[in-house]
Amino acid sequence: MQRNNLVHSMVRSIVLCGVVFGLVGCGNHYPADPEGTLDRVTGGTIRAGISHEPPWTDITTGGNTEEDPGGIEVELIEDYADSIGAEVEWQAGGEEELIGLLGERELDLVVGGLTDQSPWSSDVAMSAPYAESSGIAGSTDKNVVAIQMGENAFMTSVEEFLLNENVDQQLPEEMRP
Amino acid sequence: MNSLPEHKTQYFGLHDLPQEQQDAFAKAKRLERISILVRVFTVPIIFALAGSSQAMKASWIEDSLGFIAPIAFLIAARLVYRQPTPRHPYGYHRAFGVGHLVAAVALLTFGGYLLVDSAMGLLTGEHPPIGMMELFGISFWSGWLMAAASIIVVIPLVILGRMKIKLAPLLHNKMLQADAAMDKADWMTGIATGVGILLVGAGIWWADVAAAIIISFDILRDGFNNLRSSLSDLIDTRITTTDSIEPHELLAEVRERTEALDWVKEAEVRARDQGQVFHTEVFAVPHEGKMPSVKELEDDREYLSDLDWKLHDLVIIPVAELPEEFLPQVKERQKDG
Repeated sequence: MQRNNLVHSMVRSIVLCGVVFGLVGCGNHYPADPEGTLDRVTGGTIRAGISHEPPWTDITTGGNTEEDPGGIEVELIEDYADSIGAEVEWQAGGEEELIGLLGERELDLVVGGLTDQSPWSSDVAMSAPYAESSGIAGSTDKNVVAIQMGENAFMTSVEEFLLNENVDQQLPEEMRP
Repeated sequence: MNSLPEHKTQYFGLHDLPQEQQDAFAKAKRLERISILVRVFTVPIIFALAGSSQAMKASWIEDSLGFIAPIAFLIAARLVYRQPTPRHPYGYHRAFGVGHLVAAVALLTFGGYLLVDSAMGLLTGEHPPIGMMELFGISFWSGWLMAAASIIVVIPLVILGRMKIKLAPLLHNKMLQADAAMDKADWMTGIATGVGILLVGAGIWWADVAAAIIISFDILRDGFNNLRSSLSDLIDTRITTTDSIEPHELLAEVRERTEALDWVKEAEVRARDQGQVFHTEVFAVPHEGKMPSVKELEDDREYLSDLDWKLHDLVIIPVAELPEEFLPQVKERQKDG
């Protein structure tokens, strides 16, 4: 009887695996977005939050404004947007406010010199580190961008782009770890 | 009672172990050591890969709970060898029951915690983020590695479980039985976690939490089974088979063998499980005028005790009639006619 149960459950799990791959075949992306972010922003608009943290993000100096910011991460996100034919709509604010909006799905991503040690990682998703840089007090920071929780197609799409950019090599000498 | 046995064979306290049991016990100890070693590798792997996956969190917590039973088994296994002392006249066999109870409580506590934690995640609608990772210069979706690792790490445990469960009835060790059953059931944890993560990849965000809930229930079930079986021995339930399902056959056998002795009119047995061995009291009513000599009683005691290695701690008590206050089953039999 126990053997029968085992066989039964094995069959069930195999069927379940079949269902999984059936679903994979149906969707456009794997991993997929439960809320469809990647499909929405492709050829549309990325709603990006930005908190001032030069040289990663800059909304005040050298002709940079809140609507038209500059900085390493700003350029990266705008290049990414170009790669999927999207526009970026920047929204400047404090980190906590922006993270809150990201958690409520009012923004698609947030940049601002975040690292993988960020205390926000339980509220929003942190991308895989796209660069290593020297931080305050000589520590080595792993730089990340914040993305909506669980929008895995959009997240992997952004991550893939950032990882291919080899940002490490483009950093000025004094910022390298 | 004879003088203490010399150490020509191995003893469980006073119980001398037949060769088959000695081998099985040595093998069980070896398997438990391997189980600990395997977990030393699997727990950190799953912990490191867990990320935001609730199912993988449940999985590594379940894996770390798996340390308790083998460690408790190995500690108890050292204690049971000790000879009885004036302070511990029954020996140290209950050590297994205590270890068993500790494992049960740990399983229940963490199973409950994980269930609540996972259910909260379901209520708040937390979508687990699973992104890319870079390993040795190759970047890929980390879900593939998470799912593969979850399934692969349970394979050695399931194999160990299947090996251990064969030894448990040989040694009549309920703790080993429970531990083996848990390891054997680990394949479910692996598949639930792996499938949960692959489904999250397909956009079904709640699959991860659902897998975690399945694992929590699995841990809780293990906890309940362990608790029931350990408590039943600790509060002196009559001896049962190793899986705690049926009354142990030795109960009837000892009674029948006693009643077959020529001086015995009727007999009844009560026995409790002390861990791997039994504490057995045989009540025997002699035929009219056929009260056996002390020498005869001593020989009969030895004969019964030699029926099985678990029966070493056995006494025969000649009585005028079977005392119902010690033998509730007598009343039941009279009722049945």
